Amino acid sequence: MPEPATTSGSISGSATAEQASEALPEAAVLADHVTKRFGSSGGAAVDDVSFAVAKSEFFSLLGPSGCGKTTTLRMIAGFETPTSGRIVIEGRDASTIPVHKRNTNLVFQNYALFPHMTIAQNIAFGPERKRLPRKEVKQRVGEVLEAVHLSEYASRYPRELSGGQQQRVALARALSNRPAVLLLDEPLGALDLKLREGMQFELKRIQRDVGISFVYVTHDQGEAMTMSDRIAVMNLGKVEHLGTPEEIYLRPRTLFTAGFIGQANLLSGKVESKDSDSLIVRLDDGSAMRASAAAEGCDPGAAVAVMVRPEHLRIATNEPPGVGALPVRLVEETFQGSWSRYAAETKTGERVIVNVPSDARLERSAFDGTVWLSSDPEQAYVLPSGATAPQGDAAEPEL
Amino acid sequence: MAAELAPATILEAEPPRARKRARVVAYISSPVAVLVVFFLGPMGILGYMSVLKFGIAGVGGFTGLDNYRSVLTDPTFWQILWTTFTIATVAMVLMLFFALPLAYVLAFKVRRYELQLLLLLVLADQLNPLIRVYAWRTLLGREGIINSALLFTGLIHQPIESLLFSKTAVIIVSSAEYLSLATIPIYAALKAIDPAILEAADDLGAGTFTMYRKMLIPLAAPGIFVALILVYIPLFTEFLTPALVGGTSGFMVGNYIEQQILKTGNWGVGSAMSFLLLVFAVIFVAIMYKLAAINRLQSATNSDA
Repeated sequence: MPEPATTSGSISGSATAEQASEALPEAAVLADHVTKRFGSSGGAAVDDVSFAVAKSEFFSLLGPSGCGKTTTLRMIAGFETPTSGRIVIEGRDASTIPVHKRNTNLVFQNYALFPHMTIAQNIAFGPERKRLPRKEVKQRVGEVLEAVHLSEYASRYPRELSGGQQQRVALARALSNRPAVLLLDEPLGALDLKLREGMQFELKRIQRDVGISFVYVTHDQGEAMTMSDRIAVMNLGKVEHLGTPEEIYLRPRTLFTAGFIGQANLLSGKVESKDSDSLIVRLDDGSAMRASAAAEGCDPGAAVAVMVRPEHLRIATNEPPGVGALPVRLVEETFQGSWSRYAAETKTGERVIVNVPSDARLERSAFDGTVWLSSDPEQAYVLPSGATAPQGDAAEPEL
Repeated sequence: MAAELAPATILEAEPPRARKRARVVAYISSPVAVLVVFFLGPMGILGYMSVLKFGIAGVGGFTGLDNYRSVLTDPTFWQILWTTFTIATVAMVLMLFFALPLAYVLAFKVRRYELQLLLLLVLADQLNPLIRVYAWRTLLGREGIINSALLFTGLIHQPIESLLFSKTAVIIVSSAEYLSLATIPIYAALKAIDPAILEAADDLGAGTFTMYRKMLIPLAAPGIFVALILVYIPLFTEFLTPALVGGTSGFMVGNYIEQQILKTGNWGVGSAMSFLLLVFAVIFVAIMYKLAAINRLQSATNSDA
C-alpha cells in the first residue's frame, strides 16, 4: 500500500482505539482491535476495527456491501468469533459467551420471524426463555406490541402481515428481551421507499423511548445520517471515519468517506501554500482554490483533493476577481423542481456537479462558453488523496 | 412478446377434447397396467383366498368371513399384534431420536461433504438386509462384540443374554435398518428452513433442547410425518428381522402370517391376517396424512417469510 493511506489509516485507527479504551467503563459495546478472517488464507473481512458504543447511543456501521459491517455486527451478536481482538458487552468480555446467553438481540434483515407461531408467541419467545413468570411475559408482549402499534395483530401469523408490519414484529420480538444492545442488520432494506422513511423516524422514536443502545448496519447513507448519533464509515474491513453525521459530512477524513457520504465534488491538485487560517491548492487544470480547513497530512506539496458539496458552488458567467474561480464548460442541466443540477467539466475533464436553486437558474446561452465556479473558503475542504480513492459509483450523484 | 405467444397457445388448445384425453390415457396406461398385474392382481387373489376354507384335506370351499372371525377371536393374534405395535412404535421413536440430529447435522453442519455423506447414507441402505441382520448378530450375540467389550471393561460380569433373540434386539436392528429412509425426508424438510430463523431462536436464548422442541421439530414436521409413513408400515409388517434376531419374544405379525401360510398351510387365515394388517396400515396412514396436512398449512409460510 502507498504511504499516505497507511499513515492516515493508522492515525485514525489509534484515535478510535483511544476513544475505545477511554469509554470502556460505561460503554455498552466495545470492539477492541477486532479482526475476522474467513478460511486460513483469505484476507480480513474485518481488519483491526475498534469502536465504543455508549449507553443509549444510536450507532451506525455504514459502508458498501462487503465492507465488513455485517460481519462486525454478527461478531457482537456472537454468530461469528473474532480471529483476534475482543468484543466487550457492558464491561464483560463476550468472547466466550455463546449467542443464546448474550445480552444482545438482533433484528434480521429478512426478519426471520417464526412462521409456525403467532405474533404474540413470536414476541414471547425471548422472555419465555428467560423463565419469566407467565404474567410478566404477557405484560411485556403487550407493551412492545403497543410500542410498535400492532396490538390488534397479536393472534395473527407472520404470513398474514405486510412487510412493514413483519418488520415491526421483528423489532418488537428483539426488544421484548430487553437487551443491553439492540443490533439491527439492514432492517429496512426490504421495505419500499415511503415505508422506509416512515420507519426511520419510528426507529429513532423507539430507540429514544426505550433508551437502549442500537447498533445499526446499513449501506444507505441517508438512513444512517437521519438516525445516528455517531457513524462508523467502513470500507474494505476498516473503519475509515468514526464521528457524528455532521463531522462525517462536513469534515470527512478520507476520500472514501467524502465520496460515500452525500454528493461531493473532489478536485485533485497540490497544496501550494499554507498559512494559519487557509491554504491554497493548485488544481490540475492550473486554477487555484482557497480552502480554510484541511484534514491531516495536507502540507505544501502534498497531493490532495478539494471537496466541495454541489450546493456550495456558485456559477458565474464572468470571471470573478481573486483566487478561487474554476473555469468549466457546462454539459447538462437536470431540473429537479425546487433546484437544478448542473453537470460541468473542467479543462482536464473532471466532472463537477453544481446544485442551484430554481430562481437562480442560468440562461441557455451559458452553455455556449466558459463559466466560472467558486465557493467560500469555509465550504471547501482539503483531503489528502491516497490509495482509498472513492469508488466510482459512490461518487455518482444519487437521486 | 404477447403477440408471439398467442398463436402458440391456440395451437396448444387446438386438439379436441377426446384426443387430449386419449393422450392422457396413453401416458398413464403402462403404470396402471403394472399396478394391475403386479399389485391389484395378487391382492385380489389374496382377498379371494381369505374367504376360502383350507383344511388338512385341501381347499374346502367358500366360508364367508369365517377366517376373519377366527383371526379376530384368536387371543394369540391380539397378543402378537400388541407385541408388533410396541416393537414398531418403540423402534420408530428410537429411530427419530437418531434421525433428527443426523438430518440436522447433514442439513446445517457438514457443509463441505454434505452430498457425499448423503450418498453414503443411501448406499448403506442398499446393503442386503440379510447381511445387515447377520452383522447385527455378531454385534449383539452372547459372545458378540458388545458383550465382549462390556465384559472386558468390567462394566458387567455376566454377558447380557437378552441382547440377542429378544424384543430389544428386534427394536435395535429394525430401527437401524430404516434409519436412512427416515433421515432423508427429515433432511429435506430441514433444508427448507431459513437458517436465519434458527439463528433468531438462538439469539433470543434458545438452548439445544428448546431449539429441537420449539423450532426444528415443528418446522420439520412435514418431513417427520413423511418419515413416519415411510418407515412405520415396513416396521409394522417386519418379518425378516424378527425371524433372525427376535427369538420367541420378538415374534411379530409378519412372522405369524408366515407361520400360518408356510408352516400350518392355512392360507385362508394367513390371507385374512394380511388383509387386516393392511387395514391397520391404511388407518395409520390416514391419521398421519390428516396431521401432516394440518401442519403443511402452518409451515407453508416458510417460503414467504
